Amino acid sequence: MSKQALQEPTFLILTSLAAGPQHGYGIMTDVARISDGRVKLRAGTLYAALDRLSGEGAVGLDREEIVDGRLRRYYRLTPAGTQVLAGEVARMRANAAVASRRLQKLAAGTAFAGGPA
Amino acid sequence: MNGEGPLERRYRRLLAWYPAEHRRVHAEEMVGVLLASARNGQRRPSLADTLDLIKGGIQTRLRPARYDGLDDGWRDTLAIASIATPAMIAMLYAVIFAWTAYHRVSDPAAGLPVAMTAVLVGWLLLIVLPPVLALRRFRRAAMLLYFVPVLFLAYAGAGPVVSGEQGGFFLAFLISAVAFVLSPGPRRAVQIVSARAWVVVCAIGLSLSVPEIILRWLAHLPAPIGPYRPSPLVAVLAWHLRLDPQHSAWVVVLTTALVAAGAALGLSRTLPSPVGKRLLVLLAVPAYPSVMSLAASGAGPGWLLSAAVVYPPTVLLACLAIALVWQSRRREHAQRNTGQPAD
Repeated sequence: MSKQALQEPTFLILTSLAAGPQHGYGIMTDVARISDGRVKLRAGTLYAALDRLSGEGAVGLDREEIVDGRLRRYYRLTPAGTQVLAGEVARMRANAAVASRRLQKLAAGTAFAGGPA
Repeated sequence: MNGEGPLERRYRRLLAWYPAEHRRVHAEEMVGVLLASARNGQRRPSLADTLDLIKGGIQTRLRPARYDGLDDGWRDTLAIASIATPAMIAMLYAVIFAWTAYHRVSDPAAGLPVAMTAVLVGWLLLIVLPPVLALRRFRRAAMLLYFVPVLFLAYAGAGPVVSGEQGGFFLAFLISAVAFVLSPGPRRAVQIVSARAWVVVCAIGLSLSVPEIILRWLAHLPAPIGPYRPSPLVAVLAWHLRLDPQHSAWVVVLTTALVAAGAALGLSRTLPSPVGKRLLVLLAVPAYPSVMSLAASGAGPGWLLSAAVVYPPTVLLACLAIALVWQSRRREHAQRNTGQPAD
């Protein structure tokens, strides 16, 4: 797995699977819920991502079911995928902490400069 | 569930943007997800879905293929077995029916009894109908029908069912029914199996009738019925075989060995690497008791079919197939979850 930042759909797919094994349609609805409707995954994007993540060993097949004559595959986060997600969360948290500190400084400076003369 | 609607057909056409290997692994579930996301009454894919599928297909084609973690193991083999086994039995029945009908019709005294025709046509329908229903998405009805011949032969067997030719058919029907239950069934199979592989499957089905036809031909030789006239050399050879039933039994065994060798070669060349070999292991389970029974019937009372000759190898082959399926699934599951092969 590369050390590059994850794209948001990938991050959200891994986050969705962190709750437990999910099938394709379940991941799509969960991602919409996690992102508060902002990210709407479509099947093409989802399966391109799942395929890539499977190839990288971040996601594995949990089980298969036949529901109403249709194949339903449940995917799960592998230990490697858990590490990737944890690394991304740590990276985002560190970035957010830096951004937060700077925003606090900026706010303090603005308040000082803009105060009564 | 009804048959494939216009929306599903259009989604499937869009999936042509993806490589065949990706479609083999993901097409069914992608169609399921796309249909689940569609609005009620939607007949065409939305523009956004269309563009998304095209983009996904191009991205996947540009990426190096990595499907090691998603090998379907025995599931694809079982899917093929759920349609290839009935197809082969149907071919075998059809040839024997045609042979019988030809000789009965050409003999004015015999004719073709209505009852016999009805039974044979009924069996053919019973064999062909389950996979056809499964292809049309009537999965529950198909599942029930898959087990009808199994139950019938188990009932008609009256005693140990794995005996002789009927036992072979019983095992073949049982394998196709179990394979259907454990796999996505014929719909997956038609995606995997190429036209060349279908030709091989049909050729195997036709070839399976050869030993039986040889026996019937030999049985007819002393008083040939119909317009058939063998050449002098064939007639001498056949007469010699007819005189010694042990020889006709060996002709059956050798012919079957040739058919098996041809099947092994054909399936391994036309199906993906592990699938062809696995299918052969499955087919060997019903083939063995059938061949032994046929050889014994050809040899007549001189070559009694001993239970010791039939049961242990059949059970051994069945155990081997079950062990291979179980081991393959276990290894596959371990690899997918940990990236490490199971010990």
